[in-house]
Amino acid sequence: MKSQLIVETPTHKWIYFGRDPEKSEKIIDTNQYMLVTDKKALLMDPGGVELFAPMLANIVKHIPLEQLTHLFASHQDPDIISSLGLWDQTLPNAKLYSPWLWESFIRHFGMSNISYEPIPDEGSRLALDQVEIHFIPAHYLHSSGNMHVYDPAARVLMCGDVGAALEAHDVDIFVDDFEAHTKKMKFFHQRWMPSNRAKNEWIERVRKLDIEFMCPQHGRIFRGEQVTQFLDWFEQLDVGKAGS
Amino acid sequence: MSRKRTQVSQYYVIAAVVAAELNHTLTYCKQINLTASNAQAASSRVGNAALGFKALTGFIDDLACYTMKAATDINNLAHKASKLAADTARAATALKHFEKAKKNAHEAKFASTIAPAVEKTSKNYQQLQHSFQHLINQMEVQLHELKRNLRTANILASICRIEACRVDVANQATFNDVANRVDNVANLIRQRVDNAIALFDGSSGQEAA
Repeated sequence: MKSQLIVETPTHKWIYFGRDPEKSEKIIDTNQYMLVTDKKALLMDPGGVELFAPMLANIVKHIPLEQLTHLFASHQDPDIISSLGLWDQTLPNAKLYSPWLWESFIRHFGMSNISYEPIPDEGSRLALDQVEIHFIPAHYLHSSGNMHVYDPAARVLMCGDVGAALEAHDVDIFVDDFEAHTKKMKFFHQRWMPSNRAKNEWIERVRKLDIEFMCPQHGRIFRGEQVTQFLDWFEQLDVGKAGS
Repeated sequence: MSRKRTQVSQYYVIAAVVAAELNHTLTYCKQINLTASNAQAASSRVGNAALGFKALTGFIDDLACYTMKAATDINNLAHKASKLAADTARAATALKHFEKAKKNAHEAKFASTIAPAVEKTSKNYQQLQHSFQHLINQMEVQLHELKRNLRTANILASICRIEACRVDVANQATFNDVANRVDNVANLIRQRVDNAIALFDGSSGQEAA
């Protein structure tokens, strides 16, 4: 599994995990992100059971395990959080932040020790040492209870399934040719994103944010002007379509 | 009972099957209850000649109640065992994943920080295994005890037949029918209990999961 620093500020850093060569081809490739502050760390969309061991092995390359104090699940899907039962035995004192809507569903993955911190529909904020992050609503993109993570200091938006692409697992983690990349994103967004209204509300919300890195849970990371390019492309895309 | 059993994944299937087998016995127990009530009514109609038989109906009733309680108790143990087995399997899975992670992280800067989680899960796993084993043994003991007690049913049925001889021919058929019912239902319960015991016998001496 690859792990790579995305951005570092005086107070914290963002680390990428993914592109696991040992992953079964039948499992969708996922990106995991970890925000590390002085004494704490937040792991976002930790991934499925199959990814737990490589994730754990890679996390301890960067931080001692006791520093991993917080988890975030953007929604309830298995590729997001089915490893919860294993994290529950690894980090008994951790807190899991996830939409309130999914608490009773997510607990089915096994959760005896970790505490569930429900995020309200309108979003909320979380302080990790001196860093404050924002939980941004992204409902119906694609899940009916869905959150993204925005870090105004590092100018990073962890945008879950928005911006996802379906391609081989051995490609670069950053978007190089935006136009070429849209071909890998189109089907995913048309099929997995159910609502144009929800999409446009999210775009309107996100355009107000200062974003340098847009980090989806599948595919590649958008940088700089690619963020606006993506929002423009997404805005004109008709979503909620099955078939051609 | 001293056999070492550590095939947890197999045992939680066994626990579930045992619970299912014993569920059937509860239905049969109700049939014995009904048989005892009918026998009591029949003996009242016959009068003094059937006093011995009337006393027997109480024993039949007691046997039905005992069997029902024993089956319920074992059933509860089986449900607890199923849950414990699932927890044990979960801990075993975590240990397997930890092992894989440790192997992949052997050069990682903070690799040693995985150790407390491994140790805690390992202790928890051993504790769960021990509790599970204890439950499984308890279940097996109680199943054997239930089987032993079911012999009483055959003895009761035999005495019923003897008592049937004391009444007039017209009522003999009724009392013999009660004896046959007690015999049949006891055999049905024994069959279910044997099925449950066979599950334990068939799984002994397995290697650890």
